[in-house]
Amino acid sequence: MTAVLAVLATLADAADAAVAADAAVATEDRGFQWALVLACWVAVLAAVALVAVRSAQRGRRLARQIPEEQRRWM
Amino acid sequence: MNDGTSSPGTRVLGALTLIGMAVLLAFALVISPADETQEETVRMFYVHVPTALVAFGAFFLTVAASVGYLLRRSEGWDVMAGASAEVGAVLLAATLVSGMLWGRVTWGVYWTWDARLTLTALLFVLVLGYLAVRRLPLERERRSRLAAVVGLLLGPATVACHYATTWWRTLHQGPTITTADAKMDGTMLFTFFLGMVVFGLLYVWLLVHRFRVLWLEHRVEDLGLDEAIAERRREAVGVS
Repeated sequence: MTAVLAVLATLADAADAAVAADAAVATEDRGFQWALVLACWVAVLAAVALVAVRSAQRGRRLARQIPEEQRRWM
Repeated sequence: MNDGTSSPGTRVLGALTLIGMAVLLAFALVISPADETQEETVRMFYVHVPTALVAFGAFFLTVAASVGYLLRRSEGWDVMAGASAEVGAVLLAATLVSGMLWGRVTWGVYWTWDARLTLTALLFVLVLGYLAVRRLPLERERRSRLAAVVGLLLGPATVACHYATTWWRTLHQGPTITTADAKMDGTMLFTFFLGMVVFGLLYVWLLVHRFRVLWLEHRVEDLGLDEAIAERRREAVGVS
């Protein structure tokens, strides 16, 4: 009887360890997913911000070369 | 006095876009729930799909403006076509990058030669080609006419790209929102539509700025030409 209980206890420990390992993998997966999600948003927003800033700089540089009356409509 | 391409209207539009983007980030990354199947990666949906759809819209505007230019030969249509293609190219690049990251976690690879992905890459190359044509060192009217003809190709290319998942068997997910049996959490649906509005505003804001930049480039080009003609005249008078 003691031996059976010992085997059951061992099996229960093994099951706990397996569940814990699965949870660790899941957490790792979640971490990987979040890393890609954040990389995705950062890449898109950084690209858009870069275009907006470069566009504003170029606009200012060009506007200086044009007489004001020609760009009053803007 | 205006010292660049901004105006009161664009400042209001810019402020609305920035506020909208902050709200969208809150919904996309915090408030909306994780998906049962896709878990956290569903948060890429709120940037990937809106950028793709707005980019497609941008290319349709390029096609419409190209037709407008070929019919009317007006500089406004030409500049509009170029500005819309530029912004569309940025949004399509964003779509490709977000799609590759999403693919890595969903399919296990960044890229596969699936019909939708291949056609999106081809569309991107076509847009880059169109933008290259707009930079050709030709007389402006000839260059604009050539660009307008190339711009027309964006129409069928965009349609093929959009319907690729319907016309062919693809690894890429098919229509999600427009299908009759679409079942989506209310917050997720709201976040998606918010994304469409915010990226739509962003497109209009960038479009106005790029339109003005291109228009200013034309004016500077004209001034340079006038200067060169005046210089030649002065030289001719000096010789005689």
